[in-house]
Amino acid sequence: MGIEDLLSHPLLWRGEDTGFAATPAITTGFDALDRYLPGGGWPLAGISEIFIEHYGLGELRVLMPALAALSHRAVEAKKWIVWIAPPFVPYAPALAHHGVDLSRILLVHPPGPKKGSDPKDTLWAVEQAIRSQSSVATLAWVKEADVTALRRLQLGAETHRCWTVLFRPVEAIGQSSPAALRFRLLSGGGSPDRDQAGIQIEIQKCRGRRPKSFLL
Amino acid sequence: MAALPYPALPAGSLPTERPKTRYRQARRLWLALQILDPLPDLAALKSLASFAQSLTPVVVLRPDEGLLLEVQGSLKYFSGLVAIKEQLATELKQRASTYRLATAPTPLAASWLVRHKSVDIVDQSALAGAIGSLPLAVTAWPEKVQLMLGQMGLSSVADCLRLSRAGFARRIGQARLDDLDRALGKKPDFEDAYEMPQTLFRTVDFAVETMDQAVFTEALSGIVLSFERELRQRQMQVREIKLRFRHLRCETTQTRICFVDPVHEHKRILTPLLARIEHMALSGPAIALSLETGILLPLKVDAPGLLPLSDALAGTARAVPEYALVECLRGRFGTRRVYGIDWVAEHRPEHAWCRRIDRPASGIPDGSTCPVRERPLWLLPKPQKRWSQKRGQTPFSGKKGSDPFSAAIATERIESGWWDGRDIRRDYRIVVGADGEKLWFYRDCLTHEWYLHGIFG
Repeated sequence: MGIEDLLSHPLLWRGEDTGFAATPAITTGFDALDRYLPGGGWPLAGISEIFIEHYGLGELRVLMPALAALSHRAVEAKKWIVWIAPPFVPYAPALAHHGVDLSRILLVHPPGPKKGSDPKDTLWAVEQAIRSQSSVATLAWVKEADVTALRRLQLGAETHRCWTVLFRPVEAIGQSSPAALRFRLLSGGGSPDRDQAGIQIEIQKCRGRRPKSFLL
Repeated sequence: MAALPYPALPAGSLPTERPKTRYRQARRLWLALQILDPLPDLAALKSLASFAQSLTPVVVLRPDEGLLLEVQGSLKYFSGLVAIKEQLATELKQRASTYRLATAPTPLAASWLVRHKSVDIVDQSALAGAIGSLPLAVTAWPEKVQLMLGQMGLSSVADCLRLSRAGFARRIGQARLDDLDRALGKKPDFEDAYEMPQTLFRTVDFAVETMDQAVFTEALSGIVLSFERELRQRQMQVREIKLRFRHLRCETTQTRICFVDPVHEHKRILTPLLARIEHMALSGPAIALSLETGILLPLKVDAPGLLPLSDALAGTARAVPEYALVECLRGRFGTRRVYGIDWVAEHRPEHAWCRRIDRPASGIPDGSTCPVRERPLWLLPKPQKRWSQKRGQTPFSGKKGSDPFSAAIATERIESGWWDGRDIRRDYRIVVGADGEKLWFYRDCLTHEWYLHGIFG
């Protein structure tokens, strides 16, 4: 029996790449990140959590190459990229500047008791977007979500192959989560040089990988 | 005399009048339906007429009795009279009705025949013999007329036909003679076809006042199923639907759902309705629930493509309606909270985008129309006054320190909008905040105050 036969045997498991090569993913647009992430990009089947202390650290720029690529897939398949409870107005000219097809962007603002959105409504909208099978990506700003809710979203995203990104407050970083990928955006990465993204991320959890930091 | 702008036609060159079609030559075939049990009320007849319109466009209501269908034009499409009768029979069997069917070349003859027996008279030449054998009771003439005819020794339609026309008209009346002529096709007989309502409306009354979501769901599901059935039969669809809850002690609660695209499928109508009732606050327990559609629109079905879709597309794009998610979310949150965005060719940043409520019209703008300079991915809904040189307030991060604008880069002046009275004159700068965030500030050239307008997210 040759080494290739052994490696392809279902009972033989390798801790590194084997098993992740088939993970559905979309390129991040950053070579270093693509080399690190299983499947060579953002995991499409499952939720990713991004922890941010405040806005303006590159939380959208880090996703833009993938969103631009997915928006073109969405046009072809007549699907949506759903933004749920965004804190500000996603600025259409800037999205177009990054190559995102605006015709497939869908914004949802669940009502809230006072200012902002009701977490239950937000989670309901996320679940609907995932399970509808008519969205290729869902971006949601979720302040509160318990493990049960996250698990429901994770299962839905895995089943329906919807790239789901949850933006969470940095206080939730200690919470247990079934997410496939969790990372934090750090201050200090911002660079006035517009030729560089200047985004510093710290991977907290990634299936099959050790935590690591990147300056993109 | 001024000359005509066009030359007059020479005499004799006018188009000749088309020869008139004689009434007897215009072939018609009427199928009469007599419902024997249970006796139909008007609502039941309208419901049946709705089904019958899937067989022929000309359906006439016969109050308390049944329907009249003009089927000559449908014979070829349905492969004959037998097939049409079978479809009608299947529907009536589902409604548990006993009935009788008769066919004749005139509507009145069909109505007379069906009151007596089931028979098919397709040929005009056989009509006189067929209706001649009918008793006078089938004519539904007034009792006084029938009594008079009985006293004269007349018991069948044939007996009437044997009398002289002048004598019959003088004794019995011209109206009755006209009836005989219309039944035999000697005089035209025009029946007013039933026009289907332009909207659908159903109500469900509850036995007791209730606020139970399960009861509402069941009622709505039943109504929407009946809507779908009728919409399919009539080849129609709806774009708007109104839901009303009636209460005993307070005013009606109502809501409206608009669909992005016209719909007729049960699931697409029901899903946003259920999402809405789950979230809406009733003013009290409901005693009845009603659903009314907007004006019905003709059904349009997308033609399948010439080439088959790839497996990935065929499995998803066709199975999941494009706007089902939008309608579901709008069902719960309302139309204003679920929308798309579009880019507008405009220099003023706050006017360079717009909300899109209806279906997407444009894709990505081409390179010539995209803004040349970098724009922030987040735009604040309203510029926030963050810092003033006069007041010496702190910048975005809230930390007291040095002037945040000293390290500003990429200055840009935007001056526009003089034509509509909302002109602006601003100096924009990209600023890196105290915590590393990249911000888009501007200084109003009139007030010299600094505003935060965007964040490079």
